[in-house]
Amino acid sequence: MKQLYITLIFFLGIGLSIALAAPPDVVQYKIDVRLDTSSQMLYGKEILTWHNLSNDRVKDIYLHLYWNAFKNEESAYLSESAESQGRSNHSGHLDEIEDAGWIRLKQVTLSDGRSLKEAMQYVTPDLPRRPGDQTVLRIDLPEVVQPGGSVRLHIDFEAKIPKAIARAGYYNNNYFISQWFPKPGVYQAGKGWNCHAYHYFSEFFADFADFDVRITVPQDFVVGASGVNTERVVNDTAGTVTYRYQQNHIHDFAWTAGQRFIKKERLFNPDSLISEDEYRHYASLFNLPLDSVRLTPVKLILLIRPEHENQIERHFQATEQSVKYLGLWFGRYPYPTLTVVDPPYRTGSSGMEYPTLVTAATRPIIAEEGWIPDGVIAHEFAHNYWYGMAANNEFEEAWLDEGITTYSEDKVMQAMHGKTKMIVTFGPFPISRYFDQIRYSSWERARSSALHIVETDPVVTPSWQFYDIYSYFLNVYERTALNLFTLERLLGKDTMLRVLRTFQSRYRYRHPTTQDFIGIVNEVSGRDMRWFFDEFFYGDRLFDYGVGSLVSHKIVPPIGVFDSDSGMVVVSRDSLEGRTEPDSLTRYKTIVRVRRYGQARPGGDVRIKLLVAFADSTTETRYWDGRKRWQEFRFETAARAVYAQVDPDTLFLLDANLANNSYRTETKSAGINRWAGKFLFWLQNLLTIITLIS
Amino acid sequence: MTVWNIFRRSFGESLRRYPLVLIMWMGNLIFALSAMMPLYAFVKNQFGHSLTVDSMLEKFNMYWVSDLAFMLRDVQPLLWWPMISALLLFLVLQIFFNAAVLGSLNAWLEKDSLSSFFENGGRLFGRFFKLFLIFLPLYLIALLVLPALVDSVSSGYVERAVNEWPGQIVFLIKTGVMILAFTIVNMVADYAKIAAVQNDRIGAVRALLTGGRFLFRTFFRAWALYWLLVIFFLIVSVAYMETENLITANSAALIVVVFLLQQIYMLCRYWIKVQFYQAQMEFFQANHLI
Repeated sequence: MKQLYITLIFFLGIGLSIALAAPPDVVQYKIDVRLDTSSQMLYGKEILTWHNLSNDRVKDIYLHLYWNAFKNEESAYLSESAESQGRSNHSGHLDEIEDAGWIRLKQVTLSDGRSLKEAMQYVTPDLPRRPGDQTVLRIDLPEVVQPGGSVRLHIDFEAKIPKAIARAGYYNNNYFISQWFPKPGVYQAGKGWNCHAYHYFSEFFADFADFDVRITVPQDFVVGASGVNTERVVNDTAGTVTYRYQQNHIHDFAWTAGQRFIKKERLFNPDSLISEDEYRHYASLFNLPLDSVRLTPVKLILLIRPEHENQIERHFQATEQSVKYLGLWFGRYPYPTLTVVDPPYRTGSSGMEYPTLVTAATRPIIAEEGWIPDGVIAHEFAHNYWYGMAANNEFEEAWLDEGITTYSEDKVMQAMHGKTKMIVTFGPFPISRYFDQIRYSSWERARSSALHIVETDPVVTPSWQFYDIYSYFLNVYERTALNLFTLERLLGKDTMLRVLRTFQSRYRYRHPTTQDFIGIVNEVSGRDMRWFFDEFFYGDRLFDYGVGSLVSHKIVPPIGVFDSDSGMVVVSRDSLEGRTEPDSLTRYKTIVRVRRYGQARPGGDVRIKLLVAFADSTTETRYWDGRKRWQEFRFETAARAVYAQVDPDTLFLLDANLANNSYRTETKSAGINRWAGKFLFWLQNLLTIITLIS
Repeated sequence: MTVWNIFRRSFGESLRRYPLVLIMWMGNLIFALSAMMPLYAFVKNQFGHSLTVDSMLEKFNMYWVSDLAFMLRDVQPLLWWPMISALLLFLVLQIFFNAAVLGSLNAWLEKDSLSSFFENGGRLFGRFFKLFLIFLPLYLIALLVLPALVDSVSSGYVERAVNEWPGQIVFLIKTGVMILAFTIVNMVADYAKIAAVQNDRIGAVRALLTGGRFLFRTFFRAWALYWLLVIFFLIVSVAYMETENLITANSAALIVVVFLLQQIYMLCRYWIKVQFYQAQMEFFQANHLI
């Protein structure tokens, strides 16, 4: 009872705070949907109210009908998938025709009952054109929607649930239902509708909305959904139960239904998880009043499969840690609930984000400190900040959510576990005992893959226009994370946190763009970092600086014939021999040539640092703007140079070759020999294994 | 003679035949060294003067691994064919070595020497190569066809699954079937080779039939011996891995220690291989002649 009271108090409190902070929702949905498990169909009635918050007079409305992506092979999604040269594609999905998915608008009327059926037309807004695609529908409205006005559509729809594909669908009478209802695109003042087709490599974009959704399912089904469950009505005659979920200021609504879920709830109680010192630290860091960094309770709802029941605590812990750290860093999570779903088996919906609902991913047997499930939960929950609340256009600038989320997830994982432990499995069993030594930091992982696609595409590329799926994933996830870790090193950790916090608070419940992010970086850091984004987000050039050569030798008097007041003086090598100078007078000349091997260059106030270390333990530091192809630095010192190193603090994690960043006058082979020995041993074993068949 | 007694006898006898072990190990080491030398030279050239070398003494450092992978990105596709060719070449060399070892073990009264080793290898190589060609399809069946068969038989079961376990169980069954089938084919191949060695006059096909007939009569005891040897090998391997796991080779002395440990393990692998042949030959002789 006490818990219920607390819950009600914070629901009201948070609801109020959202209402005060957020701009008005653009869309209102009232949806009544029934799941028919015998035919894998959804039957829905939707009342969609769209408010024109722009100063434009709008004469049409564009709707996403995402599930038509799985209707036939003429859809942009399936045709792009088939064209992706057989690499992890969905060709063959329609071999069993009942696996198809589609959505059909049976009736669309205005509030006065006028039908809009004749005014509907599928459109293909993106290039290359896919005329058979039916994922975007334009409806010409009989009357213009005036600035400040609104239009209300009454939509009667039915949708065939696809067999699990692209994180939606059914498998063995378990359902994960996402991107399922007619949803308008985003109207951009002066530009018109932004409503892209459902592409093979793309996610979504929608306006903030107020959802009121009733979901009717068989009585033995457990349901999890976005928002707060405010009502449950049982219909014994029909053998169904209807759940009502409500939530404002979110831009999507997903739900799941299945017979095998275990449902657990827990209150995220910040008082027991966050100390006053932590609050004080972040209040000081962000220069905010103490109360504004305090977090509020959140009702955590976990839907987990029975075979993972022993991981309930692990799921809750990962969720709590994510809510804690992301809340402290980027501002409190403002919604009253967070639902974490261990998605039904083979619905292919694991590791996906929806507002106030995320899907985790796990295995029957998991390793301690592994990325699964903790990293997945941290990643998907971080999306509630980067996509959920700062709701960028995922079609056009996917890095803004996926990249910042990967960076944020990495920060949470570092806070939770330090370096990530590599988990190796044999079937279901972790066999990490002999790989226990392999731990790596997030930026090391990101760097290992990101370097390979730098020259393929810029990070800022519309999702469907990446060269291939690898370029898409590695650019928007790993390369972006690597770039952000580099930015963090250039700006400092605290400044980077301030940047992200400011970006989040400035664009919460709005649609930020890359330019908005750059603006915040410049504003918060007080530096002009446009070059960084031009080079590493809009650019596709490798960054690689290194030491080209290092020569260090004792200075000896020059030989030859020299003019002097008394005439010509001859200094020969023989005449110098045997001349000894005290050590204190011995001088050494060192010449270091630093090279720019790549095309990318630093800009603004950033300089390439060169450190030269000498045998007497002294060091010299020089800076170079890095514009030319190479630069020579000369030193005259009391000791011979031992090594030279560019970027000794490894600020530029995205440097394509860190090995050439340093040059030591003498070679050292111990490390090489160690790994050569290992490699030789692996090779010897490989040979003996291969020859088992001899 | 019991299986255990044969195992014990072969243990001692194979130790006595250490020259065979040494020759096989040397062959493996020289081949592996030659194969990796270009890469070693490349790495030394790229990293020898770099401070990165110091990080190679850490347990694991991903920076230099990423650097190396990136440096090799364009040549990786070019490396496949040389690597496959090298493996095929070693396979042929190993067929020769098997012939040499079994020939030498059969001539147990002779003193092992390099010349007798190569003489035996040369004498038996042709028939061993034919046996290899005969058994190759059987290995492919064991390693590829049977697992695919298990997949197709169990696909309905896996499709209907409501959780991961059926898929994982099928994976384990598939792996088990693959291992069992492989060991059986491997054992039949071993006895066919032994039959070929025992009788100089029979060809590869007759050797196969003789080995097959022999196993038909003694299958379970022969298989028990086979698994006893496999278990012995696994114990040695685990012992090696546990020992190696204790050492972080971050100094020149420890690098040498680990290298020696690795080569001792490789010697053990070849010793167990010789013991394998010795035990199976004794088992064949003990049961075939009677």
